[in-house]
Amino acid sequence: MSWAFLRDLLSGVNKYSTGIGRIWVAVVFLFRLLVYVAAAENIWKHEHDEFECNIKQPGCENVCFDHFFPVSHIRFWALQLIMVSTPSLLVVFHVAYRENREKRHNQKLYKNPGKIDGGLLCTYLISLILKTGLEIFFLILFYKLYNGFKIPRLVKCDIKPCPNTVDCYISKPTEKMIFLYFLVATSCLCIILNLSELSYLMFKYSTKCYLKRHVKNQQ
Amino acid sequence: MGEWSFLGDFLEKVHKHSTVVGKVWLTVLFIFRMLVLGTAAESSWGDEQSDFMCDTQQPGCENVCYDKAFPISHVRFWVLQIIFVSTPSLVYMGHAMHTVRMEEKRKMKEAEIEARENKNGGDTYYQQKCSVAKEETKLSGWDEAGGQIILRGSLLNTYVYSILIRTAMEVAFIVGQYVLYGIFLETLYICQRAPCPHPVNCYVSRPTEKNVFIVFMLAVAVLSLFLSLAELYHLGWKKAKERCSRSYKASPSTAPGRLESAPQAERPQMYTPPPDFNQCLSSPNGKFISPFSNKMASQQNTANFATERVHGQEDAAGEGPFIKSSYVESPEVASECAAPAFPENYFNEKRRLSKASRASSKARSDDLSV
Repeated sequence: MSWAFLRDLLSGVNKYSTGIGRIWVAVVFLFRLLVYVAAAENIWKHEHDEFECNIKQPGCENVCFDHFFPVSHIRFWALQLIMVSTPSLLVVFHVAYRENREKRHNQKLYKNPGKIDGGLLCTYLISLILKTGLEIFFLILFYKLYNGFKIPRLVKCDIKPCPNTVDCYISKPTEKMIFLYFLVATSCLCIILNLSELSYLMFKYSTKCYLKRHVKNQQ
Repeated sequence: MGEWSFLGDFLEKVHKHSTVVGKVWLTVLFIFRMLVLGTAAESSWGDEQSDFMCDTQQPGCENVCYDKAFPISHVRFWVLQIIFVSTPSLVYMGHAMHTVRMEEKRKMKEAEIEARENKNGGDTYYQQKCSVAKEETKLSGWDEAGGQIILRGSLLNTYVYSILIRTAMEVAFIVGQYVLYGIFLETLYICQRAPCPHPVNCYVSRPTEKNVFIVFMLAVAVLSLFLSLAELYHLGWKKAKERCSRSYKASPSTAPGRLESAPQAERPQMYTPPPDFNQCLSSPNGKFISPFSNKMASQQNTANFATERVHGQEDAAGEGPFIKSSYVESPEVASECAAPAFPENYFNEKRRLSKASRASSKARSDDLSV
């Protein structure tokens, strides 16, 4: 699976980010994308083949696997990574729009099209809120889908055509759990980073606004 | 292997702003860990569960036995190890980039002030601002001429902390690997866990090949640890030496010329460097020749030679409270010297040969680059 596109996208985002934003990009690259690609993908590679039920009834394993893993963990995380990175595109589009506008009018409309102020600040804040919202949404969805942040060793299944309650064994549950906790922890870290960036920006620009107004009043 | 390019791109930048030992460490990381892991080790562990055979037909027994034998696969363990061991260097790089950005902002502000002052014609204020800015340059650790980071102040602290944390991570992972698996993998693993009806014999796939890689990766981890410790020692020793020479410098008689010329020595090549005392001393053979014939001049020579010695000691420590992290051309100590003006290239050649110019020779071809 080629993640180079996401990498290029996020490198572009890096240019127009604050310091905390850059840390967020680094965390996403290293602790989520790299871990996903280099480690996690291989663990879940043969999860269906290695899922074994204590029964010879054909079809029983299939239906049990489908019941317990409606969406495989790994695909879920891939989706989460993509959705969480996408709001940053809004900022890139807005900067491109500004530059385009300058080109069309053939004059310098903005002191620096990449500087976070005015409309771009709003876009940036919206992207932060969306990122945080999506992270929280995916975490809650994961919790609801899999009944908590755990991967059991043994699951009991009695769906047709299984003739009785059968024991089914998930492969590599311990390893999967280690990486599950790791990815959930990095997700929480990203939420914290987004929230700190949000509060930092809001604080910075409200102070600026207040000072400007104060100076105006004095004048 | 392509996945490691994510990390590789970040570490390339760190490579630029590291000491020599740091560069060696990065090379070891790239070649002996990432490359080996990505190409060889991954395929060796590719069929680890499918070829993990247990002497039982009980469904589920192999799964649970494999899970008990390998709570985390070696390959994934090494992936996490590489990531955690590289992270402190990236924190240092973040700090360095932040320094660079602050420096660029300062330069822009300077340019604005200059433009404003030129308009108003207020020279003295501009000069003051310039000198303040130069002080900030020194403090920030940014060499304008070479475009390199000079390790000093808070940047040096960050670098040292990053190496300390990296060392701690290495030790933690080496110990962790030993605790989890010991050193060697056994061919036979006896497993007793539900639903296995009794203790069953389970056979690990390719144990010898895996052992070779385990020993290799352990050796490389120990080598990296050793390199980190060497770098710490190198930095610590330099700092201690520089402190000693600073206290030696504090005694007034020895080096008046040095103190005056220190700002000039640290200032990057924005000005034509004054003639170097090395030109007077050194010949192509590196022997001492005195172009002077009178006694007063040779007395001056002796004084200057003593000055040069002191400077040479400090050069080893890195010219004051910092350590050069890269080989950057910088003007040598300005001492009174009536030697004839040498051509620029000859000057640079002399720099390489003279003892005092140890810290300021050009980037050598034997500097490792990845």
